[in-house]
Amino acid sequence: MFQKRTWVFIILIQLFPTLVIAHRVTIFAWIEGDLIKTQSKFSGGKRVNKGVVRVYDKQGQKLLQGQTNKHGEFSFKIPKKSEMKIVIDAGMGHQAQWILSEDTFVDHPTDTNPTPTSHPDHSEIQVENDLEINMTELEKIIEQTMDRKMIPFTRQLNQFLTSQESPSFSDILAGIGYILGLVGLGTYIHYRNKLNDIKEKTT
Amino acid sequence: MHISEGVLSAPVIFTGVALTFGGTAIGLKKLDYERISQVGILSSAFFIASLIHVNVGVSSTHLILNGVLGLLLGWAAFPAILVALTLQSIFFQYGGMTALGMNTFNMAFPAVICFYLFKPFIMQKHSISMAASFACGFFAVLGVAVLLGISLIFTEENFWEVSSLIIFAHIPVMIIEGIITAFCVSFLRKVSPEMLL
Repeated sequence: MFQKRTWVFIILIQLFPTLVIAHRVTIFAWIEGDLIKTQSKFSGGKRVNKGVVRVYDKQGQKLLQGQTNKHGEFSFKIPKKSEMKIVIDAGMGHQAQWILSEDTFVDHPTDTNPTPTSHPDHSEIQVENDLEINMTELEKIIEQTMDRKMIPFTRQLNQFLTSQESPSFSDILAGIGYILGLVGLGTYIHYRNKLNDIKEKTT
Repeated sequence: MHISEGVLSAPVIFTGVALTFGGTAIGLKKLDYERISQVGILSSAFFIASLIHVNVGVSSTHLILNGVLGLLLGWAAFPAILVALTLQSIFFQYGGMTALGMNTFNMAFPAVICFYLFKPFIMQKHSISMAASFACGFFAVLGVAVLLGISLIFTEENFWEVSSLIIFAHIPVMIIEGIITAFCVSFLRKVSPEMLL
């Protein structure tokens, strides 16, 4: 009977190209500039379309709410730089959350461009000041570049995390193993009494 | 199909636990220990079936096989589904641990109902048997969708919209499950009809 069912599954999988191994919903959030971006998907890769994203602060107060687009993405301006809980509600009782801890909000240094003091006749000081301006600008440029360069990396990390979350073959085998173990336990309890009876009769 | 952690409110969680506890107690009491391996194998089948998913609309639905379980096990579907869902929750993180009670009841209760509704027709003429087993698979999933809608009544704002969406999203699964149940029954009738008695 189970052989038959396996065949039925195989045939069905061939017939329906939309059949995929996916179910659990996950959300991943990261910071890009002054935006928080989120991406939600079902394990297996299907993006959550029109899922409701709710953002709560540390005290559980709702800060804002929005809807994911068809790529499962939703982004919003950082409401405040503190711990945040981002919850995706994909409907039908599917829900997941991501917590952005406080230390992910690294404060960007405020741009205090020192006004160059003019020493028209002293060329050495002029050079020094120029260098100082360049340093702060350089810092800003590096930061922006880093932000940009980190985007693919964060996405990859996201993919890696979600790929780990889909059930693996060993999980499946382990589950079946547990069920067989329970069957064994049930059988043992059932036949233990019978065995005792037989032993008593023989001795 | 599986309700996630943190979706249900406390009264719903406790109701689910109580209902599942009752169902499992009846199931274990009625369980014929000679057939315990059958319960185990069907529990494994249920455990794996939930990995086969059908993507429809905004959500993804999956095979449940509760029609087959109900038809073959009757009340013993409760413990079989409870075990399988517990393991799914641990290994696949499908459905929250706190929602386990409600999830089990949602899937096992329609199975038991279908057992009483369709079992008498299974050993009839071939055509009647096929129709009854298709209906068994179909209505078992419909029952899950309806119960899922009802359990979300306290958490979803627009109940009717959500419930109709759930039922609509499960129509493909209902049809597939109906076909699978009919296949299983026709096969069992030929190979080991004593399983259907």
